[in-house]
Amino acid sequence: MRDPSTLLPLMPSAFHILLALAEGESHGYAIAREVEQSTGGAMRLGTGTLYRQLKQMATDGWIADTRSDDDDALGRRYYRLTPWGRRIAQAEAERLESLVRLARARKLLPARA
Amino acid sequence: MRDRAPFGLRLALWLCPPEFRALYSAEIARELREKSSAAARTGCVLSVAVAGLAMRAENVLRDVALAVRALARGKLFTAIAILAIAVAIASNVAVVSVIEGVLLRPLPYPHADRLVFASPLRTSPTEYSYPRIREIQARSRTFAHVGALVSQPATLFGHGRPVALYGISVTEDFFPALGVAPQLGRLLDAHDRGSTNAVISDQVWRRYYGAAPDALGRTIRLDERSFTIVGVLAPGFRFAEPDGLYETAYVLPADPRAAINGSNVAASYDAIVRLAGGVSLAAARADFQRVLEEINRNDPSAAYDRPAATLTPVAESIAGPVRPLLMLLYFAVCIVFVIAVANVANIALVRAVTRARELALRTALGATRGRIAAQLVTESAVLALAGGALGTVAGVWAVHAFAFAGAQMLPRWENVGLSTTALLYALLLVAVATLVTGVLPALAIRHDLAGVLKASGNTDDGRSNKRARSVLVITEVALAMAVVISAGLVLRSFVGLTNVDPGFDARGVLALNVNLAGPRFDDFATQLRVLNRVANGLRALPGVSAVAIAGHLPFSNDSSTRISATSGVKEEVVPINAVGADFFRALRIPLLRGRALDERDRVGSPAVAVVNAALARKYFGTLDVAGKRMYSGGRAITIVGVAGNTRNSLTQQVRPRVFLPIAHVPGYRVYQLAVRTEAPVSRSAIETASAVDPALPPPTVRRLSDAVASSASRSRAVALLFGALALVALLLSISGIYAVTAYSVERRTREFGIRKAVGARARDVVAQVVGAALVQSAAGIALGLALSAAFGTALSSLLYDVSPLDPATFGAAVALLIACTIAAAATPSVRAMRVQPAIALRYE
Repeated sequence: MRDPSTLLPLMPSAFHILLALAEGESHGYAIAREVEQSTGGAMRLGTGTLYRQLKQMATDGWIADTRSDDDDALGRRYYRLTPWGRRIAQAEAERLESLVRLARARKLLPARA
Repeated sequence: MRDRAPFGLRLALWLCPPEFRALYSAEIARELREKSSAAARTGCVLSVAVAGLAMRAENVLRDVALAVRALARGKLFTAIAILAIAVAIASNVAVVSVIEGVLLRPLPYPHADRLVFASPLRTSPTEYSYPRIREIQARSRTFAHVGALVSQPATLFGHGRPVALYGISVTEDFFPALGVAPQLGRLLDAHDRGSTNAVISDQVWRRYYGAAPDALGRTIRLDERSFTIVGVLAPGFRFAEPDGLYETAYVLPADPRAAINGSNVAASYDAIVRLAGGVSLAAARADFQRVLEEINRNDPSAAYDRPAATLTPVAESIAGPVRPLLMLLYFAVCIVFVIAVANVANIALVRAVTRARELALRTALGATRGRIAAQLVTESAVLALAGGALGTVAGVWAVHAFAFAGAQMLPRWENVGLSTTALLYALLLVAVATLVTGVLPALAIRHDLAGVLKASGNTDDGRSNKRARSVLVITEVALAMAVVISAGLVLRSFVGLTNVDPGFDARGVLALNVNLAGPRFDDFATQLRVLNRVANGLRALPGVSAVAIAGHLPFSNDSSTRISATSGVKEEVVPINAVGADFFRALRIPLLRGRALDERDRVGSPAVAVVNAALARKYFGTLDVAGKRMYSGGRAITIVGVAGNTRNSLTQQVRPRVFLPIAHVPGYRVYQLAVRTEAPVSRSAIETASAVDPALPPPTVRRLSDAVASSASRSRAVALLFGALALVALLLSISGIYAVTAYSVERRTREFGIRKAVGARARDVVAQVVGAALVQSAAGIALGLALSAAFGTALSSLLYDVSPLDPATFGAAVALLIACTIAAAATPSVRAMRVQPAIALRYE
């Protein structure tokens, strides 16, 4: 499989969508709410941005439509992470983690208890 | 729950690509309904709109990237297509720029559409007088101002060496008629009549007065008369003459006393009239006729030729004569554009078929028909834009190239530059090229997926597609044929002109203009004395073999007189040359009978003349007229010799002409000296002449052969322009024929291989390929011949001594097109000939 590191760093909105989907499958509106809650309201995804991202990610194979043929009665599309999308999210998390380690080493953050 | 989304959201969704809409519109609409505040709803709709636009832009960029990649693969196609469109757009940009500057841009006067020339004031030599101008103004009901001007060249003194300048004298209504304003001081009005006030040009103000504001009130010495400067003209001011706009160094008030009875040369006024507001041209013409009738009644000697009296709008008078030429050029560049687009469409069609597999594959991978069409149109748009950009840049250069060719034949040349109109026009052409070259292949691609994918390397190419390509090639050849024939005709007419014998030998002759301006040279005896001293000085220069004084040399403005062969008969106007001794020897004009004019013909000697052969034949029916008499103004003149015929322009027929002794024709202000020399003596000639008298401005020098050549310059420029366009049209058609032949040969590789394998000779294969191309071209050639025959008469105003149906030109064009077809088809057929049967059979 390809190396996800060429795609890094991710746009914050993309990473948050991947994080939200790491919990399990979800639909657009729920993803936006989840992102907003988990960031304490710091990250709000505009409706257009959200669906544009979802479509792009689906096209690129990061996420997959779980019930492509019959949408639910409300016209929602449910998405889940693909293995490739999971690897990308992991790679981004590792990249951030190594940055945090560096910040601790430079005494920008207190050493972990 | 409402069925329809709110209008704002529907608008925002409409901005999104259709795939996106299909996926999410229901979900987004639902989400919108769940928003509690109006602000949140607005934000939602806006974010959808922004995202939609962004996705659209992404799609376009992706198509462009795809297009660039696809175009980069087909280098030859891309290069030919871009070049073809670039050349077509360059020539269009150039011609439209010229048309805008020369024909469309208004004259530099306010309400210039109300300015007209009143023509009988120009045609009748005795009626230009100042009072008559005032009388017309007083009697007319539709003329707001009748301005009049007369050319008034003079020598400027007081600023170093005397300088010969060109200026005009004007009546008091001249500036009000034009409606222009000065940049400093005031213009001339009724108070200046007969005064010594003057207005100077911006150039004179800058050059001789250092652009100082206090130039007002200072004096300017012209012809040793002093004028007080009262104003400075706006920069770039030009006055209107019937054939163009001209610069003037200064403007003096007309002197009414000098103008009466036309006794003074300086009194031949041109009238420029400003019509009153709201007056139609027809009403003004009727009014003008009435005014002339009244004048004729009051003054029978006026004898205005009323039916010939016309008012011509100034813009029309200036642009009218060149309009047919410019329209023809425009027509020609339009044809070049059509050929270029047909060419590119043709090649794009060929490619669309060869790319059928690639496109079918993309369809199979989920691209919609619309997306494929969008990609093909994007490819064309990228091509057309690249060609358009290159063409516009080249067009700027072409405008300058036209300047080189066109400056001598176009009025208002100074106005020509790259204009917004031309740029917008170029954009329009790019759009047309995109549509035609993109939509045609998009329509031609097959959508029968399975069929295309199943077919082996050689996809079937539909009959309608083949027919479309044939029609395009035939169109190209027909149009190229028409342009080539036009070019051939104007070229033939130019070559004919350069072979016209002017009747004298201009090679090695310098023409010196000696300006004897001012009261110092008013006396005719003084003029002759100064001229003879200049001539003697020139004779002493090394390499000079003959020097002759003349009122004017051939190929400059003619003057005329009236003569008859017998006394009492109505005299007819013939052109004259006033010439001194050695004139015929200096110009090598053969003397057929009698003697030349020489030192014997002094002031006060008997009236004599030399006539040309045409005059002798026309009026006496023989060349043996030496000793006979003719009459001018009732006065007898003895003919002493007969000279060979000379022309005053290559485009004019030989006319009867009279040569009179210079000492018998006073009244010239500027003389011309012919200097036959073997050495380059221009500079020493100027110094020699200037040294004769300190009041003499340095003479201007020109090679007489240049004057002769410039008489064919219009014809040369036309031939150059049409020649260039014909070359372009021809090259485009050749590449079109080449592309189509190469394509068909490539598709038939297998067939040729089999035929060779079963024993067909290479010659037969070549003959068949070239023959097919020739059949196609023949249709185009026939159509082109018909076109040329039908529209050839439009060219006749540009032709001299060549019929618009000239069989030699038509024949040569047919031969040229046939040769080009063979050449274009030869390369691919040679390739066909080399095909090895084994390779061809494997060609799948």
